[in-house]
Amino acid sequence: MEEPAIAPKSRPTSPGELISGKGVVLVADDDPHNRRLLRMMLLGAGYDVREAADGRAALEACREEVPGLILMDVMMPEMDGYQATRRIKAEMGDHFIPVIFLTALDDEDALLRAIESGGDDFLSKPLNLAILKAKIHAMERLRNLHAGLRNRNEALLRARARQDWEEETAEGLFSRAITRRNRGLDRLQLYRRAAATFSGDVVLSGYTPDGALRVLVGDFTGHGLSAAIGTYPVSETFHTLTQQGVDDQELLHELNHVLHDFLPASMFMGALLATFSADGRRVRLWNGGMPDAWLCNTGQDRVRRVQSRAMPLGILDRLDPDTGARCYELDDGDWLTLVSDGVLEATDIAGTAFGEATVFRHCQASESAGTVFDSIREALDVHCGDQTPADDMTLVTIDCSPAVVTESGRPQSRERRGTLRWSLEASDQRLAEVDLVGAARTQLLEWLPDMGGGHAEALQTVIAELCNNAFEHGVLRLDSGMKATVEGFEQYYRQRSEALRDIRGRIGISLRYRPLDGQNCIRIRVRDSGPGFDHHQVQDALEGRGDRRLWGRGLTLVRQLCAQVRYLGSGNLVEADYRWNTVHDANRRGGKAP
Amino acid sequence: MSIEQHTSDDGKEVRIRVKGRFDFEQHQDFRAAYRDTAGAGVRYTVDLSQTEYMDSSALGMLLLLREHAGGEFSDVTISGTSEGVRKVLDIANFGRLFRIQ
Repeated sequence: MEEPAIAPKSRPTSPGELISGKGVVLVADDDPHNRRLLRMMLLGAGYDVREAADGRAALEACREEVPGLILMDVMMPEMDGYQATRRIKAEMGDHFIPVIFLTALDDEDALLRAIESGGDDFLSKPLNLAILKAKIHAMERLRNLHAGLRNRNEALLRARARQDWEEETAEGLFSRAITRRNRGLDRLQLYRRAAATFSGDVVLSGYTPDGALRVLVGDFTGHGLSAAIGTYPVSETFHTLTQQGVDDQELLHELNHVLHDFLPASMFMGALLATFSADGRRVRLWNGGMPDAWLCNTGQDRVRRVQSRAMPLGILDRLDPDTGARCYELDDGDWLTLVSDGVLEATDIAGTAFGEATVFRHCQASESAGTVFDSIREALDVHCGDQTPADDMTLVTIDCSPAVVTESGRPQSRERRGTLRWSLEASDQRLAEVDLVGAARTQLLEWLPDMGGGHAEALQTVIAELCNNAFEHGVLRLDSGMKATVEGFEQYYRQRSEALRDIRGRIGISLRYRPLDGQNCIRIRVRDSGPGFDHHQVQDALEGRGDRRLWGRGLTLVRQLCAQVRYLGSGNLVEADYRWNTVHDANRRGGKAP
Repeated sequence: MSIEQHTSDDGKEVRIRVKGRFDFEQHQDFRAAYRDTAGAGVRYTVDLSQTEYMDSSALGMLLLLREHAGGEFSDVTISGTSEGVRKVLDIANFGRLFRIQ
């Protein structure tokens, strides 16, 4: 007679379905009579039944075997129903076990406490089988819902973890693609913190063929993946054009062009471009949409502000012909400090921005590039604490005084009438980074773009051999005599790789081009900081006199390729003259004409 | 934080007011404020007098508005800029693209 009253409360299904009759029900009641009654009912409905005579026994029973449902009396010795429920729920954690309290319905306080302690429902005594079944069924649905939710949550967490991992891997690949071509990092101090896995801030650095250090600090609109994507074409364009020796103006036009074509209208890149001349006497700075940069020198008590005077890149269809880059004279001890707007806008817990004034104060108070970097970085760490920044943050300081000094600038003229000179010098650890041979080759190709006839390759061989000798023997002080035996050979290369870790010394290379009597003459001079050697014997061998064997094959090759090879000074300066006929070239070109 | 839009009866003038922070959170509302307007030939005014702060994505949104308004031939005025907002616009040299009051 109870059935019709219950049916509307549950889904409109047949009453038979309510009796799923599976699983274990734990009955916790100190009254043996009540327990027996419940057991009869539940067994009749098809459930397995476990019994506990008090709260503590119920807890033990749950530890032994996790039931599908608990029917809990309130008043019990040892541990009451509330306490037992609280403990059981705590021990089961995420695993949902429905607890139905068996209580008198008129006791509101007891009902409230039952729910507070973690109970899911209550049943009034005396028990009615139909209602009990209906409640069990409802609890089963709740439990299924709970389990489904938990499974989905777990799946979501797994997917999230996987995505995080993939994002990090992709970021690793991506940032290597961006930074792999960066050079001259010994002059840069860099601190970066990204708002998301991917960063829309980018720092690029490279050397132009004439030894100038060029640095670009860029900041794309927004942050995260969409902002980061744009950094790739910027990096490729920057490095390729820098290696080609393209000037600032042209590089900016090209970057603007690439970004304008590549980016959607709402995206652009604020950037600061700094090109430090190889002799360290000048820097050309261009600021388009970045916060003020600071060119400082404590010794001179001087702070120069480099303001944004141009549009960020990628907005205008075409940049103005004059991009607004400015040249600054440099002195020893000058440094450049720059932050992205993410640093200025970084807020502390109170919501105060780090601010331009703070950066300026640190610049004024600092002694050198190193100390200003550290002090701003520390201040920023304290300011931000552990918070994830709202925007990507980049702090860069660049030491303007180079370890590399070029003796003379590159001649501007491409005319081949007069004498042309070029030189480059590198010292200490920079020797491992600067490609002297490549720089010399680029210079020669610029002077003589159409030399042909294998001369460029031959010249490169000569320069490479001479530079290599200067490096291995003059700077690293390795003894070429060692290479005579197999053991010595190994030892030689072991010593070489050890010596590479701490390079002290200097190599200068100079080229002179001169047309003479229908011939092109290139004089290559390579000087190293080493003590030299007894070059008279080598000189004799070079001239075909004496019986001393030449060092290795390198010098023999150089001698064969060049018209003349001479050692000068203490032996730490070598001079090689390479010549070929211009007439021959002219004939060849003439021959091709129709 | 809200965006208010007012279009004149003849549809030739559109006024967009940004209150509070002008950042990426506003991008949908900001876009909605001009999406259904005629674009070229309309005089747009972006009123930033009640804008506390703007970031670079807001600059991007202004560029999108400019494009909608006809790019080079657009007529977009930015008005009521506070000192902080003005600084952001100046750093990006937006005075070249917009009339800033």
